[in-house]
Amino acid sequence: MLVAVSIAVFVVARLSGDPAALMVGDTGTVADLARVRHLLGLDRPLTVQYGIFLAGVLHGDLGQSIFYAEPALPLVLARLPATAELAVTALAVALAVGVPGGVFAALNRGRLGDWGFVAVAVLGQSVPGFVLGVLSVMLFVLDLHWLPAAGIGGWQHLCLPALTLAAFSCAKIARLTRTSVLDTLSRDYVRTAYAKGAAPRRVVWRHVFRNAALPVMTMAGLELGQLLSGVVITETIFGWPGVGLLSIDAINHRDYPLIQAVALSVAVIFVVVNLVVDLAYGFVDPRIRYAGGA
Amino acid sequence: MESAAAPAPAPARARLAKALRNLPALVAALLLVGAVALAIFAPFVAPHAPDAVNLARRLLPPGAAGDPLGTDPLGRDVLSRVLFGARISLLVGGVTMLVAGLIGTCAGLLAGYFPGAVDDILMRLGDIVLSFPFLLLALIVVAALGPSVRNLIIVLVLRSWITYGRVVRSQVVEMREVEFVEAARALGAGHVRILLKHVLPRVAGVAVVVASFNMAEAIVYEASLSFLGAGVPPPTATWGGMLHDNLLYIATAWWTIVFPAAALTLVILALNVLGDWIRDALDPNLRL
Repeated sequence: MLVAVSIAVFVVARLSGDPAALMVGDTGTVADLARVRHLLGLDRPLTVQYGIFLAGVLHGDLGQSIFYAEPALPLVLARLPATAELAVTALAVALAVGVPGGVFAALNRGRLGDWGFVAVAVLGQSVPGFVLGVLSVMLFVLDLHWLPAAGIGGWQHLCLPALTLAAFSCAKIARLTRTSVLDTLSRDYVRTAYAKGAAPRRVVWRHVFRNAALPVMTMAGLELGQLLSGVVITETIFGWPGVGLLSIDAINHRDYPLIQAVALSVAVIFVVVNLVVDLAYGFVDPRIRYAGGA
Repeated sequence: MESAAAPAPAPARARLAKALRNLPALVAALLLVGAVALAIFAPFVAPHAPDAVNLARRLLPPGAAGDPLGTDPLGRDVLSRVLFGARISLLVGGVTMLVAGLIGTCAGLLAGYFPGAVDDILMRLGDIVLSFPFLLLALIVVAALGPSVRNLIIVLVLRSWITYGRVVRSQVVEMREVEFVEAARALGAGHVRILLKHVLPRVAGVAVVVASFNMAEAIVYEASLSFLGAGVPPPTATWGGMLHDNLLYIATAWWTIVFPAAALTLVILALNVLGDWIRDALDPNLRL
């Protein structure tokens, strides 16, 4: 799996064009171009380049950024906390609003509250992230002057980017929670619990919620991956100095080592997050804890 | 004359509830048909050419004579640009949906029906593509191939076929051991015949649901890439591109931003509502 990802990262980075041509510019001669390509090791066969790249990866060395003339991996790692702050806040907001909202809607199925809730969620899923970002800047920054537009700082700076990023995931999580709770409510064990006289509150939290939480957790793990994609847009709109902005920089400069470092880091984060989610199942669902093996 | 076998008329309340349930889908369908019609007939409907620059009429607010939705920083008519922008969005979304749907459905049929190598390759490929933030991937590929409608569609198809493939595959796997397939096989039907005549019609509905969401997704990605300046190159009018171009005027000329944003959101909303409705009509327990 990781070998495949490393090959994909390598190939995709090379797709983005020739950095030597960009460095030499319009005024350089063919000899300049050849010299730069040699300096960067781009004149060697692709298989050799990949070998060097892979050997570096195994040593934790992702090469020098061509544009920043610094090691690529530390550049990415330096930007990671800002992106993590944004993505984790967004996911936390999405879960904190989406899960209770979804449970509420499911328990009020067919009533006005449910109907309104689904309508808002469908809308939330349909507004593209950049539209929401731009419109919220218009409203909260330019019109109401409540919040700063760009940069990093206190919670005021975090507010708009995190909410913009959270909206889509929140709507998705809310709808999944609703479906999942509805599905669980119709199960026999829930009917049994009611029949034996358990208090509704106890049935909902002990029997329904714990079982309905599983698909929501899987989704939350996948959503973090999606959020890393949305981060590119959000960071651009709000000038948030994270990995998203760095990756746009890297692509514009055809900075292979930096693109590789970004892509590989993101892929690794994605895999790790999903592993953590798989492990976390055990805490929620004892059946999985004891099953093991598979 | 009423036949005796006709079902008893539903109580008015239930009928009203049923009608209300279908109302959003109906509105969404009408909206989409309207959008497609406006896109096709944009040259006849639009008051101006979408890229007709008129510096004497820059940044006019909505309601200006001849420019009902105002003009942008180059004096181009916002309404005309929104109308022509629909062409790009619907073209990219529609072609992606058709091509990815065709490739993905075929791949899903094969992977589900012939377990083993084909299946493994399809799922692994999917894992790798999905373990990448797609927007990053698309930015890199578009930077490599050069921004154009065709290249955008290529990138979007590369991402989209996997969704069809996976959903169709899971349906086919369930179906492989069902009696009617076995019966067809026992009658001597070949694989191709079984796949096309027996399996395909039963997965087509699910593929249509995926298609509806996929088209919405493709349009969002096209607009997002254009917004980042990596989509369809200017001066072509696109909804995402209009937001990109007019972002500097966000504080002074809201109409250059709000109208394309609203058009985009409405189309996405309509596609999502329609997709939801088809899914619920097919099988309310379907999770997609």
